[in-house]
Amino acid sequence: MIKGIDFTGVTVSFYCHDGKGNYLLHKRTNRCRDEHGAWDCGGGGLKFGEKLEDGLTREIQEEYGTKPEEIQFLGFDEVFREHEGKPTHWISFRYKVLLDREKVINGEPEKIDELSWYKIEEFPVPLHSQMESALEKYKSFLK
Amino acid sequence: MKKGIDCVGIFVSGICHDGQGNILYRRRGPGARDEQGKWDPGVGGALEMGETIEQCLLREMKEEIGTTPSSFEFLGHREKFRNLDGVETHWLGFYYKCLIDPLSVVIGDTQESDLTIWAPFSQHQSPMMIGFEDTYTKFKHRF
Repeated sequence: MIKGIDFTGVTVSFYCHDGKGNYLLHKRTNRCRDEHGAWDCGGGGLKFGEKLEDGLTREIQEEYGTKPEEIQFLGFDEVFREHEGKPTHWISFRYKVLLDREKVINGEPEKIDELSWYKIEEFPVPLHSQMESALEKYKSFLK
Repeated sequence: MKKGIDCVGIFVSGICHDGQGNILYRRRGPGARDEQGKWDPGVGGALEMGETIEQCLLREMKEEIGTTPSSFEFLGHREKFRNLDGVETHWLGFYYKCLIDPLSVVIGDTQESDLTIWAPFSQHQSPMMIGFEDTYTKFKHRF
């Protein structure tokens, strides 16, 4: 049984910032499942038995090697897409997360080519396709 | 593959009110998925693959009480971890406040719920479902 294809999957996604209006983005490598070369904020699947905020903390630790200093829930989105010809169904919980910039590392070099901090109005292209719509929806919270 | 046991289950729950300060409590019948004999403050069920949360809400209302709300608003989400007869379960619920005309309610399947009562939200029935206190505390100010 495959998450998101055979049953609805749950993901957490995070907009990590430094408290000074800079957001942490990473560039996806060719070894990622999709969206190669796109800039992404970060996220991953919730595990069975795991609380949303625990999943969030685990994913941030895996990707950026540090723990959240502060967590703010933004909202959730229902995401219907297609992957290799099959319909996919995910529910994504979005969070704004404060990180200590000094502690951030590239925790997953096989998936992350590069890490960088950007002001929202200076985000690089191409962005992960999911980020565009989410940014529009949550921009008032991300200032 | 059982929802809530083999994967994170997603459910929708509509707390139905009559506009006069009463909500619809139903007792879970012998054919309910779990917690048979317990009082349930919501009408709903598990989300199906490819279905939006609102579609699920309206489908479940139609199936369980034979009517749909004249208006509804989103209340919030809640994580539900229960141990049911030694089995760990994990559900993620989306809650709605639904305005329903009590005269339009028809209980189609008495196996699913075998008793109904309209009562103030504060007038808890006994026994309530596991975790009801949390639902009540979270959403009572919205009624």
